[in-house]
Amino acid sequence: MLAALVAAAILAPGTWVVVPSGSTLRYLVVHKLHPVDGVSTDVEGKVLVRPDGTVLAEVRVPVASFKSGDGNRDEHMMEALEAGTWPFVVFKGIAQRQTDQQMDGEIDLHGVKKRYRVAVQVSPQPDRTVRVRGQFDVRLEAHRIERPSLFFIKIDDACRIELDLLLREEK
Amino acid sequence: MLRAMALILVASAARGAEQQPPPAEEPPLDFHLLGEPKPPLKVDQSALRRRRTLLTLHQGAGMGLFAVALANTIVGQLNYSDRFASGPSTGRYQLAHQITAYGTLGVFGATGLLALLAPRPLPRSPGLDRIWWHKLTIGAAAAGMVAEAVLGIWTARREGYLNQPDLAAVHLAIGYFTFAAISTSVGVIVF
Repeated sequence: MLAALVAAAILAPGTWVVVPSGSTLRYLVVHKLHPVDGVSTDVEGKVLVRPDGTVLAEVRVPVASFKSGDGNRDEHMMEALEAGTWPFVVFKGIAQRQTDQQMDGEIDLHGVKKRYRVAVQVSPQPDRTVRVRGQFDVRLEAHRIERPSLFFIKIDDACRIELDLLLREEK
Repeated sequence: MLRAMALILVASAARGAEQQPPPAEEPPLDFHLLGEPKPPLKVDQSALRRRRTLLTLHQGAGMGLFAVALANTIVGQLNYSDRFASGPSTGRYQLAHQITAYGTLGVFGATGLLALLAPRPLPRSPGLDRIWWHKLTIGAAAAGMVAEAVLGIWTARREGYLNQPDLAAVHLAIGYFTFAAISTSVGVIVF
């Protein structure tokens, strides 16, 4: 899909920037008692589309910016992610060919970098912006994160990350 | 509901993701598209850890509070029924009610103290989140607890007076209100 869109000059060669007001990064985790999701709208990001079709992307979000609807829980997540030491979650991705529908990427979470493959969907918007959605799953313990607990029961190790980014071309 | 189901699929999805073959040759990711980040929020990690320790103990004490408050409500109802509702009073639940009543007060105080002693190293964003409701309902429970204690002692001192059953009935009603408030306060955290 990305290939088709690039071919159609939707993501034309050049630099595209994330529009924070229209973009979110969400995490979803599961506790035995209830699922939890936290959202950040404080998203910084850029996508560079090279003339040869290579697509580079970098997205950065402050750990402290995620809101889950429970202030105590957000503080707990910040403690688990050691936000004082590792204040940002950073994703870098690359699609080597225009035909790629996914990006090979790396997430720097809790100071531990791990490689992931992220499926992305790109859709043009009427105002010449482009919406990019993607999701991938990380394992908290792979990033040396001590899983938070509620009532002495830890959350599951799996954590889904969902990207919903609005891009506009940088002039 | 749909969201919950979707979330529950996270674990299995993660397992699936792990099974994906790694790329034959990992592309280099040593590029930097973003400039320097804006200064992040300062976080006192040790204060956050201390807060978590105290709030974890608060959770444990809260479960104990729920149990002892439930026991107190049951024994309180049995004591009321024995004393005022049917036939001659035997007084068989009186001591048990005193023990659970003072136990509830003690555990309530200790649970609250653990929360109050927890440092707050981060600014809290305004809004009606779960913790706001937790505090509101536990505040109502605290008011009920004080009223129960005062009314319970007063009721016990009105032995032989005509208004003792009425005072006891009000004490019982406040007891149910207090237990409902504690249950709601626990419920907003659990569910």
